[in-house]
Amino acid sequence: MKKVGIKFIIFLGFVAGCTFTPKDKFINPIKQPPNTIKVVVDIQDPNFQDPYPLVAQTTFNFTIDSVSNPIIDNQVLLDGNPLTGVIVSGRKLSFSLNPNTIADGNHTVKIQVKLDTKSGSLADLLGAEYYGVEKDFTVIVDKVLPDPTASLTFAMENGYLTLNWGKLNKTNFYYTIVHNSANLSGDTIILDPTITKFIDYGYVGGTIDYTVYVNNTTGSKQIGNGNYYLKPIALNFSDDSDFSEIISWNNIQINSQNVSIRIEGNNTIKNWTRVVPITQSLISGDTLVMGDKDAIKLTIQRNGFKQYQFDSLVTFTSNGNFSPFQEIVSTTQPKLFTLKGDIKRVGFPVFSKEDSLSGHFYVSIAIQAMVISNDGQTGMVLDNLQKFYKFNPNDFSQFSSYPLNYQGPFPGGGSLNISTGYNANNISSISVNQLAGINYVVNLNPTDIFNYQPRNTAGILDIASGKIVWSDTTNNSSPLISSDGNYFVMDDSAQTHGLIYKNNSGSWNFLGKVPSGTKYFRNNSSTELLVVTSTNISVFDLTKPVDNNKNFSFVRTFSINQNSTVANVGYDELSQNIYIEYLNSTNIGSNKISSIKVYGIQNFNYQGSGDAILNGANGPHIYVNGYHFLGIGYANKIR
Amino acid sequence: MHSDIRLIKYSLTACLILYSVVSKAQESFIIPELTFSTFNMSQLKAFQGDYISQSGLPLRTVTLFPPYWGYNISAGLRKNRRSSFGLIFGSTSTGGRDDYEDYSGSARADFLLSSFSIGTFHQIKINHSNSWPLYFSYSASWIRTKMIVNEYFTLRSQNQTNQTLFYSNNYGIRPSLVFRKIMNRFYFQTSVGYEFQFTGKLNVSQKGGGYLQNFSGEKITAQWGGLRLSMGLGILLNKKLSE
Repeated sequence: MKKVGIKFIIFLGFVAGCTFTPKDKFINPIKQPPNTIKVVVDIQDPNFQDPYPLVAQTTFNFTIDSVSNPIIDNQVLLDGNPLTGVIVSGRKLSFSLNPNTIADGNHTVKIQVKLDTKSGSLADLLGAEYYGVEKDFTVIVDKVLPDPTASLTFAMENGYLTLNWGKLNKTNFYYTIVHNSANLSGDTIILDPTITKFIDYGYVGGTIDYTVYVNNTTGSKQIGNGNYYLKPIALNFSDDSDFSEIISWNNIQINSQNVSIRIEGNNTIKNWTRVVPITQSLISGDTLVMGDKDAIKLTIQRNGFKQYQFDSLVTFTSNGNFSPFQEIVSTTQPKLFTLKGDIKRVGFPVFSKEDSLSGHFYVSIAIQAMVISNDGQTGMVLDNLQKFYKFNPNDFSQFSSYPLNYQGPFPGGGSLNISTGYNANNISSISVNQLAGINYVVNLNPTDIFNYQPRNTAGILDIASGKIVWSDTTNNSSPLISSDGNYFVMDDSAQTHGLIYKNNSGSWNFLGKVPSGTKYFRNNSSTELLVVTSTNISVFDLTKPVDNNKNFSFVRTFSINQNSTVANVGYDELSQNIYIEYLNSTNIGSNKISSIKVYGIQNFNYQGSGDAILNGANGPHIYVNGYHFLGIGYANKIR
Repeated sequence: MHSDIRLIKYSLTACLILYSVVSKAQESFIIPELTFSTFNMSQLKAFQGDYISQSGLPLRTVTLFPPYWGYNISAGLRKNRRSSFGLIFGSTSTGGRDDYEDYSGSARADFLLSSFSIGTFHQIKINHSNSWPLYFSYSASWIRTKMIVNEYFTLRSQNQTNQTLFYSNNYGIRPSLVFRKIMNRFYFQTSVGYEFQFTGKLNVSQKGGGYLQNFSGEKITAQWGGLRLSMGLGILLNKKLSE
């Protein structure tokens, strides 16, 4: 037991001599990075060269390529002296050098960079483990500018304006090219002093002035100046097959890549703008207003060079494509007959002149009014001497004075023969059976003057016999006779109603009354009569019964939109359409825009419209069979 | 160092006094014991984390004040058949380590703690067996702590070390159960108990001054409290009364 006790005490003494000592460790098993890495130091400027001519304050942007290790420390030395203001962003390092603060001569720039090894080791964390990178280059400072060279020369190369000048004897500068044109006033700075040409990719025509300077921080010198003009396109105007104006261009002198052409109405009363690629060559459609004599503005521009635009103000008169007229009569063939001094027959829908009165005669008479039967077989005119002439619309060589003979009872007793003299006041219409509605004054013999007072007489003339088959000696109106000759309508002497008469085996019987207004008989075996005012279009069927006051009631009526001024309302039997001419409230000077809107007579459904410029000289704007016509000689399809 | 020598002197003096008392007593005993202890040390464990954060280094905590061996020496007098009292001396140690090492260098902080205690105990027999007596024991003691903080830093061929000492005074109470096997004049003893301590601040010198503080400015103590296991072989110096 003693031995055990002694051993225990010895063991206890051993334990008592031991104090706790930690044994554990944490060993990070990371590997040591390679001692060197391949690093490429690149400057982000294709014009950089070593040695580098420092001609202006320049910022150098260096990038550590080929590795992703970030910069943890850097230093830039100029001739061994540290530079301030070095900026580091990621693996990019930038700094500026100003030649004004550096003496003329060669100087060494040294860039020293420490790159993180990214090993994550204790040394790396404490910044004691890195890759050292060095890059040096030389800058040349020379503040004396080179001598000027010869003048500039200009040429279009591949459609781009190119300036050329002689090579200078130094490269210690940068170029400044100053542009001046109507829309451009700016500088283009070219850093490379070795070039001797400048391609102006924005130029698209017009007058432009260039001055080339060489510059450095001490000043600048002009080395050349010149100007250039180019008309970029040839502009043309024409009509298409629908008689719409076409603006086209050709002979393009500039490179057409990314170039647009903008054409807009300028100072017209209808504003419009079209922008298309210059390669499109033309625009058509709703552009110019018929009769527009104002200018259009042309702008040519290349995408990305807005200030270089070429502007041109082109005075344009839309082309006349029709015979000038003061009046148009249409017939069912169809044919158009125009009256303006001369009478012309024009084909339809091809507006070709087929015949003219002046083609057969010297037209000495001044024609005031022209009527042609709906079948185009009989025509009559009234001259300024108040005489009638008859002609064959199919052959203008058959044109002759038409004596008006009347033999009948004299109102005051006895008989009267008006063949001795008359003055025709008006002629309004001719039926296919050669009855004409006219108004006239009989020239009496001197012996009769005490018994008979001259007065305006409304009458129905039988052209074939030359006799007045019906007359009203107290009416200033001219009867409007239906195309088939079965009806005529005439305002009463008070002009408050239209009086309808029907032909009954040679005698004309009063049928009834319609309201006052402009009247149109329909054709095509229809018995309808249109009465048109500035507010309404009413249609009456003459076969319907009248009321006790002998008034016809309309079978349908349409109200006319009054949003714009209603200038004229007409009816075209060829197309069986009503047309309403509106005058726009906005106008410039004496110009007004006249818009014709066309509606079907049955349901008043909208058919289309056409615009024209009206002024004192443009004449009437009317509608016939799908087209609208302007008096100075324009025709255009209704759209 | 001087304080340690002084402490040993005090302890030897106490032993001599105790021996003189024991030699005249009815029955006395002395027993050296091997101890195994666990330690709370929650403040120092947290401080290890603070230390890593503050260092900026990729340190890891690899050792966190583990249970460790120690020893006790007790000498006592038998007051009567059922109770005895005496003096108890003890010592134990533990420590913590924050460590990092890679190919480029290493960093380490060792927090080494050792304690010496002196106190009194009183034990009461709680069964009727004479050959297998069982006692309830309680003790009160003064604990002196010494903490050594060793910092090592190596980067490639460069080395740097630093050492800082801290001291503190604690007071402890330990209830325990003691089991004995009497074998003539010798006896085998084993015990299990729990140490409760009132902890004192760790000073940077033996006379106070600066303190060890955590991030929040709170002063840190050595929390030795924990489970105590012991085992020893004692001797009855003047056995006069039969058990």
